[in-house]
Amino acid sequence: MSHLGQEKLILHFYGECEDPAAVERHLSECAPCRERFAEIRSVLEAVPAVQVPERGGDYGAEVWGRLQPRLAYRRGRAWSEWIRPRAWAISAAAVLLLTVGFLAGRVWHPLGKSNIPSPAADAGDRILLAAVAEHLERSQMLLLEYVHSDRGPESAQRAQVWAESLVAANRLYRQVALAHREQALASVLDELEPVLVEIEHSSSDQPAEALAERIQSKDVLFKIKVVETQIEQRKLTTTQKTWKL
Amino acid sequence: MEVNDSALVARIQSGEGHLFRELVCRHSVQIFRLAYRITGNEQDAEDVVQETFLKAHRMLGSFEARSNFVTWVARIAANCALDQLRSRRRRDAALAPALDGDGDAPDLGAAHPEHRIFHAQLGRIVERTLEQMTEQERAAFVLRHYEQMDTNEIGRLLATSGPATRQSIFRAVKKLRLALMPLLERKGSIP
Repeated sequence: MSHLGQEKLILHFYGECEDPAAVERHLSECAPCRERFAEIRSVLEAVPAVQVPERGGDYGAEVWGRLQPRLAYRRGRAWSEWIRPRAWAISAAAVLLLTVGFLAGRVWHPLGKSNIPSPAADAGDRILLAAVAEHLERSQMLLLEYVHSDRGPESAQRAQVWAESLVAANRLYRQVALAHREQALASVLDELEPVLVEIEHSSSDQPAEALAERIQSKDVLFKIKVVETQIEQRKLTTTQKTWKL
Repeated sequence: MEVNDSALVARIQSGEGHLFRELVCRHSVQIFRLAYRITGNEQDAEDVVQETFLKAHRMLGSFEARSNFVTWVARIAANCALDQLRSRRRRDAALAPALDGDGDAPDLGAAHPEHRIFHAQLGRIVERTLEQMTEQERAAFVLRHYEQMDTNEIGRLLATSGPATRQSIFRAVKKLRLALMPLLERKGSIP
């Protein structure tokens, strides 16, 4: 008689075994497995309960109170604008102008000039970092939605439109990253691009599971998160530097 | 009559932005609980709640009306909580355990001095083991063990495949088992 693996016993403890009756049957006949299961159960039952601090009935209102000032600037704007291609074309154009300006500022900076940071350059850094962070966040949300969507015609079309709006920006940011020798960022954007392009050209008739699998197996989402965190830290550093001036 | 989440989202997407408040009020407690269980820290959990709703607000345009808003926002929260946990660990700040203070876990025999000592030790070991887990293992275990979510649901929240999620849980349990076994054996809890 072959024994049950630890994984199966853990799943059985949590009631997630595919065939619980078969496991129970085996446990009633196999002393070593019974012993092992009892041990796993003792350990997991001994784990103390988490006491989550209480939050009152008006907690939601408190959260809203803190959140509202941060959302104020968006008020009155229709959310659907965020994924409309036209709105994105305008945003992309703005980003392009900003980026060209940013690059120009860097490239034209005479080499011999002192490295004293200027508030304007730092402001440019912050804006660019914020734009890249937002791009990564949108890409991340698209991939998450794509991986977990039903991939029906509506979802596919929506994902295509969304991906289309991200591809151009992605290329632009990758070039900027390469120009600034930001290898980690460039590498993530490099990995991201074919995924976005594939989503852009996917259709509900094609099997999308392969792409979803690839997104998960290559840890694209995790890599995006790591770079996002680094950008957040850089944004903080840039802000602190500006305040010190 | 209360308007359901999907209808609210549809109206917000059409420009009635003020209705976002209703979604925040409805789901803040649930998001806080989830965030607290993953981060194990009250202030971190508060930050996660804020960050989650900010992101949800920004991303609402991508939300599909027929999806479940709570699942969607919980996915954002779980990811924010993981990020928060990573940052916190990087900063080497003390990771306050999500356990009963002093390890005084509620137990029928907790009043007895021997039991109090035992539970204090238990609490400390579990706390330390949770700290030693990777963020992914900790989140997956906490969601499975405390939130009683099934592994597929956890996978959807953490954006990991079913097998990867299960592996995280198995590794977490293995670590707990290794850490707790000596204490449980001493107490005679292991049959």
